[in-house]
Amino acid sequence: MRLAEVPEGAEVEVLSVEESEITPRLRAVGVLPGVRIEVLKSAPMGDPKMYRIFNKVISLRNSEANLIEVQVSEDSPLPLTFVGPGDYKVEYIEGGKIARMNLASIGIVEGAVIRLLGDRRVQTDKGIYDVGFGKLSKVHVLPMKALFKADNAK
Amino acid sequence: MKSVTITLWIMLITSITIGIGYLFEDDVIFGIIIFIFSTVFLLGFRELGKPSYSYRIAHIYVGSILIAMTAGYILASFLFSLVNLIIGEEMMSLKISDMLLLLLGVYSSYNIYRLRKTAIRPEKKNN
Amino acid sequence: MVITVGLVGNPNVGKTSLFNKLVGARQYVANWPGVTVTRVEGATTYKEHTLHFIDLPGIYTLSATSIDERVARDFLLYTPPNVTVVIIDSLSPEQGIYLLLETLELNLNVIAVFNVIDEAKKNGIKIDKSSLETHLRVPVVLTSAHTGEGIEQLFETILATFKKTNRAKLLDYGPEIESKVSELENCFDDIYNKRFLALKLIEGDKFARELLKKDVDVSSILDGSASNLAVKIAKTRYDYALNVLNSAMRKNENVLTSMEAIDHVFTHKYIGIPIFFALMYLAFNFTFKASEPLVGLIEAGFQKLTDVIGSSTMLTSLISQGIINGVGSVISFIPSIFALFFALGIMEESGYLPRIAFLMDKAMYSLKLTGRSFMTLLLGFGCNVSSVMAARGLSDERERVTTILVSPFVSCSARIPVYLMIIGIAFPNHKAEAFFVMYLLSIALTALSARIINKVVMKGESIPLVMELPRYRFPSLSNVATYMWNRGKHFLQKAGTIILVASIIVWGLSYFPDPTNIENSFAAMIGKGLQFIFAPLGFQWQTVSALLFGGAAKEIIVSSFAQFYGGIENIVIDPVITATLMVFILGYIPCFATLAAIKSETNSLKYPIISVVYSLFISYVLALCVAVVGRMIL
Repeated sequence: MRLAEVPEGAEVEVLSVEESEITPRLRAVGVLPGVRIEVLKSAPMGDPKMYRIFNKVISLRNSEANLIEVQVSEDSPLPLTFVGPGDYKVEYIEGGKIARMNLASIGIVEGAVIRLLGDRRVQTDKGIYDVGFGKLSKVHVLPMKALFKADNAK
Repeated sequence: MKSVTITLWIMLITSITIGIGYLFEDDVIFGIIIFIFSTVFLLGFRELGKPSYSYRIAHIYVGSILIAMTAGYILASFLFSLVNLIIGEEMMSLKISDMLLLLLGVYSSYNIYRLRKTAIRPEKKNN
Repeated sequence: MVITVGLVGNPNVGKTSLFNKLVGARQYVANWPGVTVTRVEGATTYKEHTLHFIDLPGIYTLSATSIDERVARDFLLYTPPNVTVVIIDSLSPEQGIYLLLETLELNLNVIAVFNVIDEAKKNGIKIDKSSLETHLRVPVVLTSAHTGEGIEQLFETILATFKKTNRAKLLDYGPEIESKVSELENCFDDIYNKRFLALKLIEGDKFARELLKKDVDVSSILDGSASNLAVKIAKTRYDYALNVLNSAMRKNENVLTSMEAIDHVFTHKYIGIPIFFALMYLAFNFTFKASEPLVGLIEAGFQKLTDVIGSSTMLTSLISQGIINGVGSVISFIPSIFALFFALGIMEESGYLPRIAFLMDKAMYSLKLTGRSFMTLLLGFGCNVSSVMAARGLSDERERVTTILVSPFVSCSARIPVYLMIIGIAFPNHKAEAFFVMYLLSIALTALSARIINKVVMKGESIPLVMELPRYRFPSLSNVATYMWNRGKHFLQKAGTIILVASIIVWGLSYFPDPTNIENSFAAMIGKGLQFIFAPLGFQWQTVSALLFGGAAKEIIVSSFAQFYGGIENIVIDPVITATLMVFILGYIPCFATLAAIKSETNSLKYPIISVVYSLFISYVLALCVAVVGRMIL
């Protein structure tokens, strides 16, 4: 996918960069195949976004980020709206106190293991719930199999 | 954690009061500005659930900087207006809202000082 | 012995702070020839040597795709300094070392400086200096521009390195690339650093192509694999950099996320922009209202002086009305200009300025500009001169020129008395609405001009963002003071002379040939003579003469009107002509101070002339539209 499509909070690895006027500068700043980029924050209207490359924070317009082809890193948390059905561990929850309380009441808290069903409902230790798109996008998770892999590797 | 909540409340209530004060004194724009800064503290309550320390105090830190700067602006305006005495014009008169703001400015500076000391100790990122 | 030292580095590494520490107040700000890029030089003596420092623009690479990069690269390529100091940010060294490796390819005498060492220590980062020196094969100095640590050592190292003749060994890029490099080296003349240029050619540097030997065709050598090779070259450098850092730097796993947390508020989805507007209001008020007493003091002083001298004879009139008035108006600018640059300096030093650009970039994109120029143009609402001068801080030449040319359309504070006067005459009951419309029009005209200038002068190229967001830091007052002083002094020198001369000319035109009756003055004659041009707009000769004087400075329009009509109360103009007049005044010509600033910032006469011609043209056209439409409606 293109860097511009990656949600906030995710970490990706660069696959390739299209040639353009700014590509030499992008390369100089570290956007090279194999390099990890963390998507930090986006401006109020979604454009531009802040990215962390090595230890610098660089902001890129979506039109510029679209030149960069990336893949999401295995250990990068993603919002529930971005992933397919499966088992996940909740890494962190965006949003204010009220949203967190609501999610907590149905069993979605940091550290909990939940299952995303095919019809977009969520199964937690408290039951199966229909969570709206907005709230769903605030829950950032890691796939359980990635965690298994990491554990096995140790 | 508790001190964060208390500080947020103090800053929020005081700044709203000052804002209302300015509205009563017909300085609408300045009142709105103070209200914008109050919102910073208001939004700070949302962050209280988060596990990250720096996000929790960010609103107090930034809000205090904003209030301190505003108080500094009032102070500077006042001091510059003393020059008016030389040319026979009036100097700026400090109204109650102005003085409350200066006081809050002092407290804000204290907040900034206090928070900088604790934030200097590096913080772990996502365990 | 004079030693020239070039300072190179990424933006935001503290290069300017370091430069200030090395050179003190003995700085000289100019432009690189032919471009709007800032050139800062300074000198200092150390142990009987004179060190001449040149602060090059902040860059990420010597592959020149922008004018800033080209200027830095050309300086190092054609007129290499005796010693090159590459400044690297200890907290984000990777990109800095990349640049260092590129400068080593130029065969320069290099010292690597790791700056901000005090903050690195606070974050628990341990740097093994000798390991760095071994791997980078250049002398390494750890400095902190903030605390002064390492500065003495830097001086010593510069002196020691000056005498060195051997250069560090170069990176090996692997057989595939090295063989291409050898082939390409033959395509350059011997006077150049062939290896460097060959590498740059592979990396896609268009300026390197210009240096090829005549009639040489490199397309067969470069073919389609060039971009893959370019990636490989960059990767080799980064791999090397990361290896060096792995062995020489030890970080804790702790990473300060305080910057992210603060950005969470300043770039907050809902409150980020309101905070910005609030801060802007404070900054503007600080500049104009708070400094009002000081301005008042100065004006009162000059008023006293003029009263004492009087204006009975020609000489006294020249002195009091021409010279003192002129000088007085320049000096009364001083508090506002310095206060403006103080506020701007704080925003830049603290790191907030790029956040403003970040918030506003989307809005600026439709103007073919970037968020960086938003702040610059905003300053124009106070005084166009400051926005022309602040354009220095933009990092793209095209953006600088466009911003400079567009600045005069932002409705500066000098036009306010004029609007007040005119609105008072024709629209006394709709003052607020009329004002609002004027400001809206000003913004629309600025936006329109940005697009036109971009199409015509810049050939429609859009300007990329790719902007670094630096760490927040507590602004250092000495840096802010230096910044404020440099900018303010520049303004006084440039604008001061022009305004003074213009004042004298204005005085002359209205005094001669008949001091007693202004209707007989040269000014009136010129006004009457030119009136036919403005007849379609419905302007009387008094208006034309006043507008003429307004070219010197917009505020003069009011007093000129008063003089020509014998008092403002006597002026009667109908609403359509008033509206036409206001639209015309909006952008008919940048005031002389602004023109002087444009000339000195762009280093050429071409741009002020373009500015004058374009503004006259578009203002006339717009005013004509208003006149025609107005007549139809009423």
